[in-house]
Amino acid sequence: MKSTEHNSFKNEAMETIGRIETENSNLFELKWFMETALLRFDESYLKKTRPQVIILGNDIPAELLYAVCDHPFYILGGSLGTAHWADELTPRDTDPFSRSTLGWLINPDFDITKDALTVTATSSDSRRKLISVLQNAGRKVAAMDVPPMNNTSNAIHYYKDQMVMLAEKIGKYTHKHLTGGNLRHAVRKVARAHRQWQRFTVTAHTAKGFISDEAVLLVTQCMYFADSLDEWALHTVALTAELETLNKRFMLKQKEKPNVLILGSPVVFPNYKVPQLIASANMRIAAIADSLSVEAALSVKRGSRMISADRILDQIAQDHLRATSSGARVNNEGLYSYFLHLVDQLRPDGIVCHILKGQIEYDFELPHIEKAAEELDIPVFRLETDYQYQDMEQLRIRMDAFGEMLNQRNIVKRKAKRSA
Amino acid sequence: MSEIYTRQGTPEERRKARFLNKSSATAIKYLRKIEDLPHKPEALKPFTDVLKHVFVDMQGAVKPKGVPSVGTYCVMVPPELIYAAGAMPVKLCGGSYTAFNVGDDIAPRDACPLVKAIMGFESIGVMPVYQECQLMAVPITCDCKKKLAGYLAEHRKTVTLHVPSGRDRDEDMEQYVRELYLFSQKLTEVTGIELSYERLSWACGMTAAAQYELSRFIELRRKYPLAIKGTHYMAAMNAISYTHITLWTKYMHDLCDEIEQKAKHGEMASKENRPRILITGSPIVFPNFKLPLLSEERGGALVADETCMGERGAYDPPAIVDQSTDGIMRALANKSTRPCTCPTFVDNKRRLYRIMQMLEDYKVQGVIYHVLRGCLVYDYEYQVMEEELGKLGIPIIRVESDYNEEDVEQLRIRVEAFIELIKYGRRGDK
Repeated sequence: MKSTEHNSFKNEAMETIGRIETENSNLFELKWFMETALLRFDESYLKKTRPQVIILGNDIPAELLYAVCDHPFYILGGSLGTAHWADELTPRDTDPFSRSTLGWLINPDFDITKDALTVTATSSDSRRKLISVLQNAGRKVAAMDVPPMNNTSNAIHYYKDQMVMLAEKIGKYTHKHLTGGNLRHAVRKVARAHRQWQRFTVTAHTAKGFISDEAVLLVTQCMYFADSLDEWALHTVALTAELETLNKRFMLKQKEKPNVLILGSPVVFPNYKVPQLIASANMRIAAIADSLSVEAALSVKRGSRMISADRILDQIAQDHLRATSSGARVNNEGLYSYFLHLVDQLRPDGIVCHILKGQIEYDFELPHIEKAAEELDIPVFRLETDYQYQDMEQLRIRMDAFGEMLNQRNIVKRKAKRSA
Repeated sequence: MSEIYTRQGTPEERRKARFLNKSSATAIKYLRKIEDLPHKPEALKPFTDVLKHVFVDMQGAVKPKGVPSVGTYCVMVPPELIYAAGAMPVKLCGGSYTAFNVGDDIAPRDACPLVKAIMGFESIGVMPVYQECQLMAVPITCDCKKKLAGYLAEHRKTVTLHVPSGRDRDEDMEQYVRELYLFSQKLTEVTGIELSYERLSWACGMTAAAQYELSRFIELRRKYPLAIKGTHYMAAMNAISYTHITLWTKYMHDLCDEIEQKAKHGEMASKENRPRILITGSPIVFPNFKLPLLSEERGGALVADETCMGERGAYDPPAIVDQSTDGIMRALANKSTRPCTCPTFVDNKRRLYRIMQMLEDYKVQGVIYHVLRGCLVYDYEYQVMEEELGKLGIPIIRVESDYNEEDVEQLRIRVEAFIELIKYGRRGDK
């Protein structure tokens, strides 16, 4: 029974990678990203690996983490296998991200937490209780609290205080302390990576015929899976260059497909159900506006990098509270403004609002998105799912219908344009 | 004939009228059930009258004329601060099935019924107790409350209080003190009364009098056999949400006097052999009294209530060590968070300790763990509770429920079976 579970854990990743490999066999540079992602599901690697600091989710500013830790080991959920492992540890209505995260840390097959300090932000109910479960299970946990408001001086002050406190805790563990030099170095490192992320996504958007949507997602998420951020940035530069060359050399005639924007809960490897469904409904992903991509769109401004460490922290606190997408806020203005920016830039034909079961914050935010989309005459499709694959066919039917509707709208629009 | 079928008013007005009718019908039904329970003390009437006043007669909170109301959504808002500002706190956590149905159309499907009921009340806008509030104070204790604060802020003047997820570090407490100061500024904007040491100590004096009466009441509740039915106790504790503290203190004083007299004469509220039950978990807000009523109708004795609608909010007095405005503010921040057993905190072992203490104090034989559908934070703590109570050999039952009456019969069977289990277990022990 146990080995079957482990197989299903690895098989899920293998299946996703297999699909990406088949669809993108022409891309030589993609290999590294596939290997990096797959390594996370390798039994012998997981048994061997001893990360010093494990980060749950991506709500802690990366600049802060890299200032006090060289190789943060990110866990972003995504796996059905690990979610199964946590079934008995969590209530029935827990969201799949929390389940999967817990399964990565407490399971019968491997223990990556042996020498690790687990770090997280208390950004939701599940996260708060997850910390409690981990501490009860004897794991070392350091947490930072996230204020629910983003525009008050008290919130910024508190957030900064929490960042410093967390950095001190991690620093004690890694023996790398929060100094001005370390912080500035981390800021440069993260800014470089975020720049490459943005360059890659823009290139991938223009070279759609050469790279699949799932592959684009994989590449960007490998920023969190790679052992070294610099290595990831180097490989991304190489892949971007490869795509640019292909785009220059070959002219790929493609059928016009509706472009959709994905919003809401992050789509995390290996659970690429949503992009798979979008592709099968003959649509393309214009962009993704989730907490991962909003975070990557942020970086401390170049001019601000030479100021004192204290002022850099101030800047990070302000940027993160104002601009990142987080359900932890009373009003998720970061997601909303990023969504408006993407709509303005990419003019998508439709919006897929992806809500993982139990992530109620996104559901609360949906009416605002729907209202804004209505004003812009963009249809919104609410897709609620979890990490299970049983609902694939039902979702496929719904997604097909959405795709057909968008196609029809495009035909009508084109006709109207021609007749005008 | 045609007159009969002529509809009065606009569709919106008819909708509001339907809401009021349905809402008051439910309240009447539950008030009747509460009053029909045997051994009702005479002095309980002012408390049930308050509930009637608010939910049947559709009037505002019971308070002296001219005192503005401030809506609060958690016990972590210190009432002393609001009284000091010359206003009255009104706890607006909703328990109405009718408001829940309205809120169901606004809130996401998986939101908890309590929040749906609040959103329903806010959207329908006909309940004076909600409408008369000049300011809303929402401590962020869970994801739903967080988003509720955003929703309320779109319609009302709303203050959000950030409750830190930890409470043991001084920095966390500092944060809550700062939040309380910001809250007091907003209160001053509403009432025009500045925060001062005199006003704060006067307000603390009022709540201290209420706490004294409550401590008498708690002492009487510990009597064996039971001196007052648990449902009656819960009605009295629910009434504090809508009553000015001075009035509530007076009502509670009379109730304690009556129970004391009855206890002296051996007039107890239940037989000795009734299984003694503690209720914990998600709050039980009037009129959603199906669980306490079922427990007592099926032969259980509801001896203790650990929910936040029970004694949790008023149990701990502020420990003022520094006789200054800041000293009182710190004491209020401390008493609102540090002893609180709300599962919003990462480390909530004190809830377990508190329940253990209550098991001992009230000689509890079984625990009903109430989980409102979608209330994940309480659900997370069930497992630990189950393990710890298992070690003590005290049975526990997890009852998940929503704001409707469709599950009453299923709940009745489960509660009945649970009470029988306690009875048989006890016989087995002998």
